[in-house]
Amino acid sequence: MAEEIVMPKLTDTMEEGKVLRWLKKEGDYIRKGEIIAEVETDKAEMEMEAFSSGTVLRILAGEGQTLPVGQTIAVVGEVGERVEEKPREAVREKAKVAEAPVREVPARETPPRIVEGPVPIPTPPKVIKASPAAKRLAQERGADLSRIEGTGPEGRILTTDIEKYLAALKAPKKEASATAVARALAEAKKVKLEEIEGTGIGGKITKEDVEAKIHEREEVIPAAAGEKIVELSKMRQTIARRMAESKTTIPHFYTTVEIVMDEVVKLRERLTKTPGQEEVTFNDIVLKATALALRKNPEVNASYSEQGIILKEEINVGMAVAVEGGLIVPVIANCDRLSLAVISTKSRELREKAEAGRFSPGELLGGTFTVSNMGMLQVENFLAIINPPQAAILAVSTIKDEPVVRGGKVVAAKVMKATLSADHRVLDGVKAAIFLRDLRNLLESPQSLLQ
Amino acid sequence: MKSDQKYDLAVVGGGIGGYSAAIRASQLGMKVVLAEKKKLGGVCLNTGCIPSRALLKMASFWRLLNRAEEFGFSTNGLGFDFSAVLAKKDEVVEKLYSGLKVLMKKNRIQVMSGRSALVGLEKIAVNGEEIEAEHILIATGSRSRGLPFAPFDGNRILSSRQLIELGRVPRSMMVIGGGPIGLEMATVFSTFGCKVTVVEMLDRIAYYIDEEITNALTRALKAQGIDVYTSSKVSGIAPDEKKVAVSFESPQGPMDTSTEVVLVATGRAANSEELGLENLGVRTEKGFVSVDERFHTGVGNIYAVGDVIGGKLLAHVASAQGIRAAENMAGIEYGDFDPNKIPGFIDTEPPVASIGLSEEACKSSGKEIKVGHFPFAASGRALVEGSQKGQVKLITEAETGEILGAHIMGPEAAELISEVSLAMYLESTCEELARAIHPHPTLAEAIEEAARDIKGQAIHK
Repeated sequence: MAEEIVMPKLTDTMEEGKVLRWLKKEGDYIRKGEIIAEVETDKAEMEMEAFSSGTVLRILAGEGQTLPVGQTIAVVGEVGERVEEKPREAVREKAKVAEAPVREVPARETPPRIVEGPVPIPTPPKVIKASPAAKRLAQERGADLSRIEGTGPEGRILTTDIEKYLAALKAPKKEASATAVARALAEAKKVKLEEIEGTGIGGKITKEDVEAKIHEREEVIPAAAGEKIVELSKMRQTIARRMAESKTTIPHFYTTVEIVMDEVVKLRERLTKTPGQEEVTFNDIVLKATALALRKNPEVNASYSEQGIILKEEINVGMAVAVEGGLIVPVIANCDRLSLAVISTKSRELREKAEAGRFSPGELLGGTFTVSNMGMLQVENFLAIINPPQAAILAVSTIKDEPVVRGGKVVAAKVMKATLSADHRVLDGVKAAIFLRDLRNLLESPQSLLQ
Repeated sequence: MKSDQKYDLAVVGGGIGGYSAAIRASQLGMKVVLAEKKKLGGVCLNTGCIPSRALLKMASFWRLLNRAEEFGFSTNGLGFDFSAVLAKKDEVVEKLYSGLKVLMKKNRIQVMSGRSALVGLEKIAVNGEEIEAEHILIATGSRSRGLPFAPFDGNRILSSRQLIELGRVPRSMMVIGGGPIGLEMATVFSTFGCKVTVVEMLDRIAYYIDEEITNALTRALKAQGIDVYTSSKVSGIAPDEKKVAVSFESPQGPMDTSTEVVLVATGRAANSEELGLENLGVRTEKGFVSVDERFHTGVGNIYAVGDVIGGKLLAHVASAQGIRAAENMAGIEYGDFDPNKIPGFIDTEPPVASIGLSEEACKSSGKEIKVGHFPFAASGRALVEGSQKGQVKLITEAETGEILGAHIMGPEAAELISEVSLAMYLESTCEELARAIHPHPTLAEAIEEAARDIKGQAIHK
């Protein structure tokens, strides 16, 4: 019977592969395990081996052709067999594209490495070989053939393999040896004894071993007198991890500007009297101005990667919202294309959703830039931590009445500081300064924001 | 005794710490030399635990004899001869000493007699003769520390050893120091007719034992005619020909008393001088040798155990440490010496035994605990024995049931505490203590019942 060779899933993240070179042609006899083609995956070039022996009857994918994982690329069988005209097509999974990355690589490109040596075992959709008796037995006993290793010819599953598998399932798990206190403590703190190595006599798990596991798991520091420990919520754990990661892996630098907000204040006054725009807040105006400034400075709307700086096509601005237990950053997609009215509606919705703790999955994904506003808390200036994998974050502070010099005279003005924290691998001082200059210009002459 | 051969271990001090280490090292295949300046067996065997135990046994026997009618016996002209009592004590000590010499021979330990000093990282000198050894163990023990303003004179102002060697029962005695030694001596001599007064500086006797138990013990001592003053500090001691005038500050005000002899049992000092430790860089603190949890001094291969390193000055502590030090030297590290799991007892009447933390100590460290009690008054066996005073008190950690401490006052307390010591070593919980079957009628059942009482499920209470 002719068998189909499909594009194998050679890495865990691979969704499609490009046939670079066929090492066999139609009419060649191939043996199981032989390398028959070179395939480019999302990570590297890899070798593809044959899963069964036979003659190559038909090659369905040409060199240079990219096909999804699971799609037939060749048919193998006995000489003279008929091959079906329509090859099986892989079931395409509808991938939700949150962003459309445009790759821009630096001038000197380093080609991906060819993997040499042991090739990871491809996991194609499996054709399970089992003897008819084994198949019957498996069905009777409810055994999953795909989980059983066959010891018969060509990996065929035999009845003895099924018996062995079922017997192993039933065998009682060897109970870990532990002291009574260790057992009681593990139960109280929900620690699995099987995960602990015992250091007591004869390998017994002691109280100390359980405590070490607890500390390893939670990094608990016992509260001293006068202290109280508040357990980390899932959200705070994630924030803790991400912020630490960001601060230690991204080289941050900071640039601050002072923006005169008198015109914005006036604009907002006007809007509160305009039907349909009454709810526009200062933050909404800042979001729109930020989005437009990003349009002018695409390198700020980017991400660092080893292959190069990824410039994002869409401008999806995240707004940091404080919620109980931490911080959440819902995203306003295509912020530069939305009117102030729409932005204000969206931002209010997102804030309400943040408080309720209920978001649709798309609303938290795909952010390309973040704005964090602490103005309402009278913060004069602060430096935010970049939200990876973004390249920058803008910290917006309170609008204060300050004396400024205009035309040689000291006048009162409403001034707001904004600090950009930027990834120095992506941006340098000049680029950050230009972005902020553009932002300031937009906010100091906000008529352009009304489009 | 060849000076040209190198030993694996040289032990300085032949008390229970030293000889236990020597025997264990020998079992592990090491060549051992042990140097003792006085008598093998040290303080414990010759002037401490064993002699006191002999006296205490005779005291308790005397008390029982005086209750003979209670048990249905009639007695006529009961008397005692203190010198015979002392002779018996000497007999016991002599027997044990001979036994120890045999043990040394059996384990092929080279015993040297004389004063030692450490003269090199791998060298000691015994009476000037140099011995080379890869490891050195300091186990020189401790001695009674007198009061600076009233040194021991062996006549009126006595150490516990001198009191035993006195050879007679004084008419009156003041015991300065309400710790185990002071209380045991108070018990012995009070039983044989001495009027005893105990003066303790802290606010209670045997401060490391649970307060509930020590309060009950204080009442029991007073009931026997022993006066106990706590929170009291001695301000003056003036011995003369016939007596000693002692003045002390008590909560009731200043007291002036007169007594025949004074026993000073306020503490002990380490025997760490003149060993040459400073020359090798071995550190001491207040005389006690500093070691890590492996009993290593941090210098060369020099270890130290027992009273000389401080901590709980108990014979079984010295022995346990000695054994572990030898094992550590041989490369076998159990790491199972836990200072919170060391039992101790005081042979008062009734006896008291304790292990782990007191209720107060648990509470002040913020632990959530559960406490179980069982009074011996509810124990059939105790009633038969005629000793119903006291109780078993068990303290466990609330969440896991871990045994944190046990305090017993009552008959055979010293024997009973070992069951709890094993339970704590095994990290058992009160559940196991409650469910292991104890034979009836025994005193040990009180432990089972106290463990049940943690959950309020005692049967006989």
